[in-house]
Amino acid sequence: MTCPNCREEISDNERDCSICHHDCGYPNVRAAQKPEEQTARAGRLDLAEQSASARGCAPLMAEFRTAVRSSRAVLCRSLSQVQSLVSGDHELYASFYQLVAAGARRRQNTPEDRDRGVADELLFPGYREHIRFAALSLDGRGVPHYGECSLVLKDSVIRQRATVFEENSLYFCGRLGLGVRRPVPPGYRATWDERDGLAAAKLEPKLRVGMRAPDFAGILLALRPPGGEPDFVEVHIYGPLHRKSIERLVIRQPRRAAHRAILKQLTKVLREEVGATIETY
Amino acid sequence: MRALVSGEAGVAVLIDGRQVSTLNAGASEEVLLTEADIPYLLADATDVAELLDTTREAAAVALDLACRKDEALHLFLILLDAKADREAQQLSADCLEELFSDQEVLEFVCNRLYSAPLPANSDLVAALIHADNARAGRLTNFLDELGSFQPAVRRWRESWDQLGADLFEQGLAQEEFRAAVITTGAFRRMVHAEPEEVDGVLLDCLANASLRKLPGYRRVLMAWTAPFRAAKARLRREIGVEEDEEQGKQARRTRRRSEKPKPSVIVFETVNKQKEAIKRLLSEGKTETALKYVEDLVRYQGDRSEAQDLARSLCDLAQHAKSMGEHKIQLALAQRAVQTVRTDGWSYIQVGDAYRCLGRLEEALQAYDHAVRDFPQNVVARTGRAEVLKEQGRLEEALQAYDHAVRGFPQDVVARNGRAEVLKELGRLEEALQAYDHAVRDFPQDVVARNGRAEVLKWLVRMEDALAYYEATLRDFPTDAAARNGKVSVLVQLGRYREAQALLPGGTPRTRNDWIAEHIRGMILMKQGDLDAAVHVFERGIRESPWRHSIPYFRGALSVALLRRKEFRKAVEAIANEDAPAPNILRLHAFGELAEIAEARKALARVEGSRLPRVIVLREELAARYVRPEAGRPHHSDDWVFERECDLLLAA
Repeated sequence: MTCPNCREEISDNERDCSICHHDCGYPNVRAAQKPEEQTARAGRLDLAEQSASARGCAPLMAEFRTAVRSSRAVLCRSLSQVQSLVSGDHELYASFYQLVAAGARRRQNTPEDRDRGVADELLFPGYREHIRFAALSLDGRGVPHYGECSLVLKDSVIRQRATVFEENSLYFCGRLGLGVRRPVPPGYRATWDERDGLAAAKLEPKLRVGMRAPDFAGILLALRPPGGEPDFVEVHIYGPLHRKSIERLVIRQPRRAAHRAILKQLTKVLREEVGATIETY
Repeated sequence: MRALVSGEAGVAVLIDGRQVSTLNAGASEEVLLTEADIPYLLADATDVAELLDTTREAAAVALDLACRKDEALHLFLILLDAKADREAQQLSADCLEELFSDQEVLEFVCNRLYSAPLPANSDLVAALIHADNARAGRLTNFLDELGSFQPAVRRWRESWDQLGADLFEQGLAQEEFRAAVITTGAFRRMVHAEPEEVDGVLLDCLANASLRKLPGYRRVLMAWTAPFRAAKARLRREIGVEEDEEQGKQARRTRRRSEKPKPSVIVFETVNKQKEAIKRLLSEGKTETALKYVEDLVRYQGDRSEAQDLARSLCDLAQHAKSMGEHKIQLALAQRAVQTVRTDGWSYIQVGDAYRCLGRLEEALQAYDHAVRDFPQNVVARTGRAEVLKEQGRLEEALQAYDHAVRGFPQDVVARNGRAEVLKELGRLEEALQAYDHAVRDFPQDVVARNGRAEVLKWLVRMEDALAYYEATLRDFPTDAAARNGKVSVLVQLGRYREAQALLPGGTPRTRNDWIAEHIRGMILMKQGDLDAAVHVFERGIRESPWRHSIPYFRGALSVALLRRKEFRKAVEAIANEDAPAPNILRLHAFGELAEIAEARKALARVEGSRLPRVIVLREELAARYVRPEAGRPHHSDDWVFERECDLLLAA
């Protein structure tokens, strides 16, 4: 890509032009906007639409896409992690690499850490430390195994810098055997405003005649039976998240006294300092 | 099997070949997942521990401990947070007592809390109160100790922060090293160490496997502890090399321990902080919260000190409530003090004072009578009783009571001033002036005596003398609001309005003197002819001033404004049932204008015996106008009467 200001070439991982410092956009968003990505994604969506028509699900698919346009990015964390994250006006969500760089977390050098490094470098070459992960959700609930608190992020604070991806990117890379000389194929990522098309292309086979709008949440973010991985559309957000990025917290009513105490305090902070709402179920 | 355990994330990830499952805190079942889920499961956790060759059971035990440590740290931080939800704090205290029964959990929290001074937003006192409410002995001890070691924590932390980056081999090493000295307990042990114990702790640290694997560990630890080892060497030199080593150790231990606060000192400091917090809340008008804090104080101090001390604390708070005009709270606190110790004369005096401030004079008199009977040697009880009699209009009895008090306690300036004040009220102005002269001579630093003397000069209509005296008082007591108000009122009477206005305070009136200043502000408006604005000020004073004694001034001033507007019926209503010389003069004026001569005569009768010059001139003028026209005395103009009525109110 060339810088729109000085016409010099800029790298895929750079946000600011190294010559004139012009803001050339978020690298993940630029990656999703590449012509080959758009073409491939359009092709997948076209096939999905044909399939839906053939199965008599075209209206349902349109309804699904409308619903996904109002979906939100959701982070799942434990109660105690959320308490730490919102307790000050610092960055809400430090990426793994930044935590390691700051010395807060020591790299374990486990096979899992190594796999993750490879997958992230494939998807975010040269800027993986700037990416924060979330899941797309229609009902504000994330994957419960990942943490009992679902933090719903404000659309306005991520819209410009978020992209969506087919599924858990680490699972995706493992499933397709991606690695050296096997890059991520095009058509599996989209900008935030095009998330409905990507979700429809991916999930069209799950739509069935007779389904209704309340069923969509369980399709967009599915919890498979034991032994299977949770299936969701992954959200990649470039840059830091502040606690005021939180729109609401969704959590199951805690049973233990210690958790009730933490939630009580969390509720006060979220309401009074963050301006977020709390939803218990 | 390997396991990745995080208390922060509340999860243990079990990895057995290609199979991945998780254990979640508080859930019994294992959930099968994939390797791709691991980054999400551990997310941004900073406490991930890897267990090699482990079992599911061992991982579950490790997870349980890690979660309890993490919870304890969070709950402790909530407990300390000055802005935290009180209910959350109380719940936290309850939970922490149980969590701290596990030594490992206690040490985990301890290691972290002793690595840096408590942040500015922490409230150790409130935390102690919550711990006390929860009957949490372990937690209370921990908090007590944490508070007493703060100076040492600060010194050790400063020493760490001053270590140069060149001591560490790479950028990240410094942070990694800091984490290690915290988690291994090195920080905590150093903070706890006596000077002669630092070397021993240092040796332990040098032998610690976790620290030894860090690059340059010896160099870093030596540099960190250097200031403290040097201090020890200095201490040895001070004590003398010939001193027997054992004796020296003992002496240093004693000296060191004597530096640490004793438990009674901690209780004293805690109670003082509680009282400060309550006073602050009362000053901010947060009475409901203040009363909750009072309950906390009663529980905390009640359990730890003599009942007499608690009663004193409550009386002290009652006095503060009084200064804020919160007389109902003043009474409640004083009554609580009496309930705490029924044999405490001071508490009864406080109850009497509170009743007096509320205008419940009979109850005030009973409380003072009780105090005088049981504590005849208490001069405050006697002067309080005399003051109530004065307010009841029983001036001769009040004078007797003051005479008695002055004879018994000639060195009590309050009794002397009180006696002089009653003489003034009786119109015996020369005697009052003499009494104040003596008080000022004997107590030159008593500003009340000096202001009292200036007041008498005002009543004697010696305005220039009064002004000079106020100015002299303000030179010695430049912040005295009563002297300032006195000077302002003289300036108004002299027609020097601009100078007077410049001296009046701004902002919302709160203290008694603020409201007196507000009254003067209204008087200036009235004298300048802006009756509407003046009426607004006076009506607001009647409505909003919490100071019972200031209300008659606002009522009198409102009545004068209404007389000026020729709204005579309203002028009578404004005075209500006040019964002092000034309101009776205004009543005489209003009823005279309304041609209700019988009522005017009644008002006149009430001021017939007054010896106050300002009252006498108005009484004679108004009596001649409305009640005794046959006397044929020349009448003054309405403007003249208005000015004299204003001056009468300003002199009062």
